[in-house]
Amino acid sequence: MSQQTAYPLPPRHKGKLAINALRARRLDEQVIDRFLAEREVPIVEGPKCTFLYRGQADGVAVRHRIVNQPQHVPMKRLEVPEGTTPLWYVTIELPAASRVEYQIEVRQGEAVETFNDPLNPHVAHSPVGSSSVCQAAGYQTPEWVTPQPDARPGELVALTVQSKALRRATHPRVYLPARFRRSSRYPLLVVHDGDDYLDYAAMRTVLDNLIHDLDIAETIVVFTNPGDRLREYPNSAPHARHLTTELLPALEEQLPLIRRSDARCLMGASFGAVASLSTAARNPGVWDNLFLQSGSFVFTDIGSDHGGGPAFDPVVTFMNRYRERPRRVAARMFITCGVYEPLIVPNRSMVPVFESTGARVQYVESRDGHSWENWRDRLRDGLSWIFPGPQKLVYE
Amino acid sequence: MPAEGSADGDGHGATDHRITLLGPQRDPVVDEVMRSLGLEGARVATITAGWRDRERDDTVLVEQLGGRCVNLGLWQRMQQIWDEDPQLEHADRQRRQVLTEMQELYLIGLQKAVEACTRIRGHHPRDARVHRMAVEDVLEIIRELDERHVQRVAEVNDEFFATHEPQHRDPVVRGRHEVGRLVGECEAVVIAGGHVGVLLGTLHMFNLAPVLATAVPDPREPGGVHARVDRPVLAWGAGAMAITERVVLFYDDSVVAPGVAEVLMDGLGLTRGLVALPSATDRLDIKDPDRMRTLTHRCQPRVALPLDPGDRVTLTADGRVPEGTRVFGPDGTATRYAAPVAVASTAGPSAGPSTTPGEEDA
Repeated sequence: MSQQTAYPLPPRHKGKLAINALRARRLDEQVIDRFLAEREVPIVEGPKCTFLYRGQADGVAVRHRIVNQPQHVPMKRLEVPEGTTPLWYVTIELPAASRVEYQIEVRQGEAVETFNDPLNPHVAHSPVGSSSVCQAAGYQTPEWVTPQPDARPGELVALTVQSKALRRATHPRVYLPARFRRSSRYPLLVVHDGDDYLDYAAMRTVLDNLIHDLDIAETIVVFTNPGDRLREYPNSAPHARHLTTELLPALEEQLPLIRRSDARCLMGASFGAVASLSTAARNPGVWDNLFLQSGSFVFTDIGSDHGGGPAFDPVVTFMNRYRERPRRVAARMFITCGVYEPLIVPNRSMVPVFESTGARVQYVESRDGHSWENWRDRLRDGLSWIFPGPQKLVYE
Repeated sequence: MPAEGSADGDGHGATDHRITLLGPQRDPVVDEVMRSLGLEGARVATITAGWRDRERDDTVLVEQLGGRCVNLGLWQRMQQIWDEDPQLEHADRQRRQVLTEMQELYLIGLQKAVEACTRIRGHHPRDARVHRMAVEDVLEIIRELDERHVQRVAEVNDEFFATHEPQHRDPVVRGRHEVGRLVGECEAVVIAGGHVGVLLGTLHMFNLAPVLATAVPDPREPGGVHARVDRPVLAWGAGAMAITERVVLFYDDSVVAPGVAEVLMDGLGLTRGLVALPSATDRLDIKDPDRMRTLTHRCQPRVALPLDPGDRVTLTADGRVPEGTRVFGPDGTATRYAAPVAVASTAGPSAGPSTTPGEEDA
């Protein structure tokens, strides 16, 4: 069942855009300085977002990754008197509540340089670097992603598991909720790319807050990390074997877990979602919940040419085979995807396929891209659906 | 000094103690209420088991009670029982797992029925009578689901108590004795909010119902009984819910989708003819008349009693809602309570304080 996303109403803006008002003025260095000092950049006016760059260049452009849109958007140079540092601008229309990561591309002769927007302090981080962030009208950073003073922090405990399946030692980190008690029994969430979820999606803080707010059940969360990600995550038998026959028994031996498939969840983003799906598929009846974010569920309807490069070969083989003969791999699946990422098409396509297996599917889209902050912002919806908190039982 | 009942009671004289239900105590007014009830300086037994492992974080409550109180420590005592009697702990864990699964399955059916009710109500009627009958039918189905669920929960609890006989196990016997003694030394009892399931579990394990109240003949209902509390009781949040006849869970503002109010189980039955709805204005979508009508209909014949910040309702001596109290009426809107004129039961099937499931008064 897909969930209709409740976006805010389309933003409105009356009057001239700030950049047009500036263009009508007599410009000098001070006027432009003041114009920039008085505004956040990009300038968000209703649906219009004006990107700016100040400096000498032969060409400047905004680079973003919104699918089906020109991803290289050239800026125009504002006419300024000689001797004044040039100002470049472009206005892009973005729907309400959009969140777009981008960089500025500057060309000097043949040399092209791409970097974060020096006028914009909002930066999102990821394992491959950082990007500037444009938050369109109506987007709000959820309050539960920042530390709340009254939320008791959980504890992160290091663990080492010798894996015969992977032929290496794995070093997951285990989150024990605040007020953890050995006499209680907890559901288990296993997270792929665990350190990235902790570092770039604030997942430790999110767990502390959501558990404190009773949005999610007190849960033991295991943050796992890949060795060779491109080998271990796309439908790898050793990886699935490791999680199910090595990690899970070790956890159940050491921690007070509810030993039932409906109290276990595998979670991951991108290739981590494929790893979650394929692990559950290889071990029916073990992992009954899946939380899949922007899954790299690339498939082909004709032939095998998918255009995703060799890393996607095993993914496409797995997904094509699954689509030929869909079967229930989990009882409940929470799936999220950003509408600005190329993976929106395969994710949308897979929802009815998963539903056809009898799984209960909750599908949520957001006006966002293939990014850790997008995945962060969907954590409350997903986790509270997978392991709901005791809100309905607590009456202060 | 223990409070005496006012003149509107039903003639129990010196034992005319009352239950007072309060709104949430985030900004506590327990001290004021105690004063107004003539209980200033009274020794009070407190129950904060709904706070679970924070049971003893009761500094504010102790201050409000002027330090003259004893926390019964029911949650901690329960943990001790589990430590001393792992067999019972295992059996209780299994019971709770069964109840959880029952609740989940009941909820699946309930959600569909409530959804059907909403659709039928939203239908533009070509014949008003047909439409009304269809709404009544689906509401009846919802009520049947509720009743069957409560009955089955009671059966599971009865079976647990009959099979494992906690009332005959040493740690439980010791705990009950100690709790009974502590309550006996107090002039009033305060039951705070928290996790209603945990709170009910501890209240049942230590068989608090007969400790707090006595079953007496109900003059309004020939052959019936009602609970007469043996000392004044103050309760709020989950505490207020737990001492009523029926515990209804509700939370319309859940993260993923609007929740459906669900019956958890019968409470201790110290009150008559009411369903306590703590923080109702916060937790219920009171602007949605359909949801509210469905909820109040499901509560019938009991009356839906909101307990919002600042609310304070001292029940009649036989544990009923007094005239003029703000309640949710049959149309789901807030109104002033007027007791039914006819001499008939306004309570549901349960009457009098409920003992621990499956056993006689201890």
